[in-house]
Amino acid sequence: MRIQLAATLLLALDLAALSSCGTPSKAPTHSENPNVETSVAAKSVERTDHGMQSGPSFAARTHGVPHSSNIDLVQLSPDGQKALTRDGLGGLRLWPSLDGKAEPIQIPLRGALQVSLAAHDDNTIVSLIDGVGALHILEVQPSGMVRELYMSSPHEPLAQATVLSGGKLLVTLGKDYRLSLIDVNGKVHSQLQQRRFRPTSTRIATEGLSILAIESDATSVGGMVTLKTVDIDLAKKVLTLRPGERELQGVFNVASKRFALSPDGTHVAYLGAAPAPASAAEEKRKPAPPQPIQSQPAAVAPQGLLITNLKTGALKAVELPLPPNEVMSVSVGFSQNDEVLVSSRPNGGSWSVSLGGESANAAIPSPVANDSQRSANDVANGVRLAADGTWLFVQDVAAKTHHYLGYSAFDPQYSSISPNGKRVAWSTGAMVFVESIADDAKSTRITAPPTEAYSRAGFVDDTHLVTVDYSGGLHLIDWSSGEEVASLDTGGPIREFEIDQERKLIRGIRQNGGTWVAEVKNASLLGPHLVQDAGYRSGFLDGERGLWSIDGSNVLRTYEISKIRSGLSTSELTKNGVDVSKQVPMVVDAKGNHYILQSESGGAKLTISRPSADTRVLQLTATPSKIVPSPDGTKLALLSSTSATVEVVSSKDASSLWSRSFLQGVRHLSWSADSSHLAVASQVGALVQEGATGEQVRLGCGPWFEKRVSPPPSTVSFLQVQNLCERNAGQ
Amino acid sequence: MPPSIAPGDVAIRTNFAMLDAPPQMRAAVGQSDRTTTSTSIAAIADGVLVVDDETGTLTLLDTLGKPRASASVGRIAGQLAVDRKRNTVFVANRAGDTIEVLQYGKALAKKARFVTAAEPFGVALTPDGKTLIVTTVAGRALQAFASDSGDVLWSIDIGPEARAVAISPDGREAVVSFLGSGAIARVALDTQKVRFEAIGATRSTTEEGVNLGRSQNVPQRFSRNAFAATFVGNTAVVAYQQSTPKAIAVNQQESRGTYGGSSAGNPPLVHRLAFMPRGWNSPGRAHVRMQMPRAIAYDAAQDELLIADLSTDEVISVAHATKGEMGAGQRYLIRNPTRAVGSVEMCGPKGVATTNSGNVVVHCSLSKQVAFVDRSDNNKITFSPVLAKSRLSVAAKRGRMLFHKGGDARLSSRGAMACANCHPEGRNDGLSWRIEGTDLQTPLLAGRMNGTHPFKWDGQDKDLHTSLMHTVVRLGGHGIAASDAKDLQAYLESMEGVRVAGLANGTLSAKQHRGKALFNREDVGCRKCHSGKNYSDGKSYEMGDDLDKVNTPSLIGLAASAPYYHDGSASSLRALVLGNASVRGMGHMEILDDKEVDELIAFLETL
Repeated sequence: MRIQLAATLLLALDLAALSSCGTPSKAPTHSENPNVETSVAAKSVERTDHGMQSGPSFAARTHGVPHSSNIDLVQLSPDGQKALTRDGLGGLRLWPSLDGKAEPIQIPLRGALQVSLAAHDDNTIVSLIDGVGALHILEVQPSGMVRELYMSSPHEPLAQATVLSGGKLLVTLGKDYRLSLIDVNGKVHSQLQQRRFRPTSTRIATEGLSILAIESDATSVGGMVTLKTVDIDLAKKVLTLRPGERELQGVFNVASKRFALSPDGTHVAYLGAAPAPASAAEEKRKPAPPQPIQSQPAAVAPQGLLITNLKTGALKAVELPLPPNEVMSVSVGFSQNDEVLVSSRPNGGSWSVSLGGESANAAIPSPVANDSQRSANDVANGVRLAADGTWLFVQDVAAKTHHYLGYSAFDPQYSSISPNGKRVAWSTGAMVFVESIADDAKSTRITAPPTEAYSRAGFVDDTHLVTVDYSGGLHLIDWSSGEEVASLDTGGPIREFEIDQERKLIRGIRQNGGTWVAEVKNASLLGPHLVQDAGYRSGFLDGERGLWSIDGSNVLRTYEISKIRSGLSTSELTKNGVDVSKQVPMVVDAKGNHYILQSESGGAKLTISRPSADTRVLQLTATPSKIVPSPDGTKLALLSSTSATVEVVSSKDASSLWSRSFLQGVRHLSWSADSSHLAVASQVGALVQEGATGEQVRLGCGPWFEKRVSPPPSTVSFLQVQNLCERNAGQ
Repeated sequence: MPPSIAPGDVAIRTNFAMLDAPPQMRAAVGQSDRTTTSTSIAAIADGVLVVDDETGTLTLLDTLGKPRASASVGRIAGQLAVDRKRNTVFVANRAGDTIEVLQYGKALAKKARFVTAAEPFGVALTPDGKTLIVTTVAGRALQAFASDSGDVLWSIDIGPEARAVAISPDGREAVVSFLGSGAIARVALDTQKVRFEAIGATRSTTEEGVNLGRSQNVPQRFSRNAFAATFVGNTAVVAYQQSTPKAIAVNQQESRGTYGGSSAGNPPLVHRLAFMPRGWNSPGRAHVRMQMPRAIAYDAAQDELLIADLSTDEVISVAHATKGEMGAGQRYLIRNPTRAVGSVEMCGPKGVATTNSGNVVVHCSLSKQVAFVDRSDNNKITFSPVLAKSRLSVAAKRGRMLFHKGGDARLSSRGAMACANCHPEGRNDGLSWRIEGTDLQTPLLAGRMNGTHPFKWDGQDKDLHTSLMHTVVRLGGHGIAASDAKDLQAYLESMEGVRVAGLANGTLSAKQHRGKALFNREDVGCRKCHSGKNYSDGKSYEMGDDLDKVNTPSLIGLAASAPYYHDGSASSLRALVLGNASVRGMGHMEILDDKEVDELIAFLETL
């Protein structure tokens, strides 16, 4: 037994060493023996963990997948031409170009703690450190094909990985403080582990091909960092430690965007406290700094930007007009070897600091930001990138030009499928998007006039939409041209809206009650014909009966359309009603079937009272907040508002055909005329599904990507969960 | 289903809440004839098979709970898998490094023995019954055996602290869960290629460099204690603990009045279910009110997940598991009123299964019984007799219950933390907790409690009894009676040391012998303080700038106790030996060359 053996060994150990210990001295700061400065020589090592499998290839969508949540990390490629972004829900996007010619591509991993990227021929090599310290190296092709080239084991976690220019090699930093030079397939070419030095992060000098390894005790209130430089020999694929080190004091923070290395590796820029000028007496008392270690004097206020020449130790301190609490939201980066950009929180100011000039501290444009809480910034090769909600602000620093990249806000409130089943319309308020169901073609966008908003829009035929604005105005629109063909004032805002495509009838209920009916005839909108029976719910019925309505006393009435058109008499509005208060239907379908819901423990009972057939009683597993029967009467779409779940069940026996959790904000369900498809407008995306199986047919989350110079009107996302496009990436 | 809760919100009073949308899990399949998820209890046609880990006793019971037969499968057992078609049960003999194969019928008959790597734990059969997959803890291997012959088909390195194993219904992959890595391993059974996937860290957490502590504990939330895993369709479902050992600074001001990352209303530990689909689809996560999930079973007939919670005596059901409206189902309190003794009498559910008739059977690991929940009779619960005699003393048995007890406000603030949450099986969670302004590494307990006083990293507690009394107060508990501390002490002192991978053949290799010589060398200096059979002189030294003095820790089980030093600032033994930690000046390892460093580490891995 091994445990017993271990015990035997313990007894066999030399007990002579039991003598008491002296108190060790406080830990020395530096190596006391210069001969052991480098304990582990750079060497070529073959990995032995070939048992790791790469993830399957992933065909990422190349359009229509905006960030679900606001961007909290931006990382530029060394050439400043590409970027990787992460949002608050952990979603990742690769922006293959920053000129607006290509939409961001979804990277199918979540929650990366650290990211890096570089171009490799036409492709992009992306490195990600995930939440358990495993490294993923991905190759992303312009077509959106993502291949995982390598993944490391979480049992040897990493803190950081950086893809070098050219995209062939990476520098990694282990949580055991080991620096490695690896290729994109994970082969380790060189390793370096320096005794008594524990770098927690690195910076790569993209021109100088060196690594700055940073050991930090710095906190948000200032501290000391120790820097060592490691040279990269790309030809031999070897890391070599340069002798000497440099200490910096008064450093506030060494987070990646607050402590920057110049591309040529000669300077660092960081936030800190400028050293107080030492008096002559103090200078005299100060011991000479040990060589080759070079230190700076202890730091004191005020806070500002410090730039240190790594070779000479020369320090440049630049005061910044920052409020005291802004320091944690500031980012620092070199746009060129001789220029540092300092960016604070959006709307808070940005500055260009020249290394050469005495007072070069010039304000530069910042994004006019909607999202003022975040400060994700990056700078590389003369390009500055700043996040604004789910958008990017792209700035050419030298040319002093900028633009925004992102998606029009897409929160569909209403859905409608065209009579021929080929198109679906989503209305968001400011816009209506019309999309082909069968293919992934780009949407047609219809923008509401500035003073109006299209709260709902539905097909009245295959070429025309009827939209309703917030004042209750109806608009007949040729969707392919965006031309408004006719309009009609219905007298006030509405809370319910329905289109009978077969009869080209439109039904609305005003906010304060009362149904009206309008109709489309000869490219005109006719009506509104009022049904002033104080009904609070209504709906269309097939055939002569035309319309049903239930008033506040739970009296159900039906009306013929011809009589509605000609104007209903007082007696028609007040008589002939049926008291349904004992079994108030949640909905009445076009065939006149009543759907009566009763909550029960562990679910609900749904009674379908059918005028021409037996009554059915169905047991549901949950209590829906909305029931939408399919036009052919075979299926029921059930919406649970609390869980934002849509389930389709058979109307015969309530057997579940499928269910899907949206988790947030399902706004509207609509069936196609032939009951083959169900459209769901939700806060997390717009989805058309096969009615019988739930198979996804068309999914949209960001139909309109754009590049614009003026600030976008809305950039901030309030989603608490991933959008559907991101969530179902692999399906 | 209750509404989803906001990111970071932990709402412990909520029974169930989806944090991310679950993946579509359409493939609800019928019950297999084989146990494809490692477990300690399995229903068979006319009864139940259950294995008691502490005593290594396998028991066959009838459907009324009457024991028919029992057999010893070793001194300590792991889990079991059953082939119902062949009336065969495979049980991990954890201390003996074998799989014991037994035939069951009216009795239990030993049939075969498969030799495994060190410390087998989880066992599962492929759906066709041909292959037995085994996790080994100290051996760090995942092994496949031909279930009829016992031939080793393959064996791969899977990493430390593997526990549960589950096989997908299509037989294509195995999922392995771990105590400490925060990841699961997906293993393709045809190629044996491994892919690790993070369980819980799907949201952005923190930014490099802003963690308060000296060690590299980012992100601030860590997935731990994934003892339980199963499949629903081809989606792996894993129950795990989310630990928040450090508070996130608000306005640069650290709260010093809390333990770890707890704050008003939010405990530092919560528990989750992860739904991890095959391929690239986003995993879904759900908050479930539980405190020590140790087993999970999927009942396809009811479309529900059943979770055994060791610390609360509850079996928790998650209803409509494959549907969008997945949500809280029943919670069965498994407590035997006839055996109640004091306030700590517990069942300690460690295994759960459903019978052909749809009833639930529960393995009570602490009371050593099987509980039968009759769902057709208003969830009436009956208990089997006690199935095995514990080797523990009466006090240690009580201490064991207390060690695992959740929801007890005496032990921690609002009872949110039990001892075993951070010290599962007496081990450590691999984290450094922010305690009263200092990062303190969670120490290994197993095998280190006898003669290693004083206790705590600063050596402030002169003995174990005092330390236990202080610990619960530091956890925010109201405090325990001296008799409770005695019971806990008895249990802790009864714990065996962990088995380490370094002592592969039970004896030191030549390299390890050289390392031992270095360890003992006066000029190297290890033995100067790490002396005696416990490798500790019991004294305290000035070692860091965050504690006045640091007590010399015992080195028993060192390889299984990373990270190292009082603040956890050395993530590996190599980092420790090379002096790459916040603590410096310990020994004189700068005199060792690279080869000697390797030799010393090789020896340290055997302790």
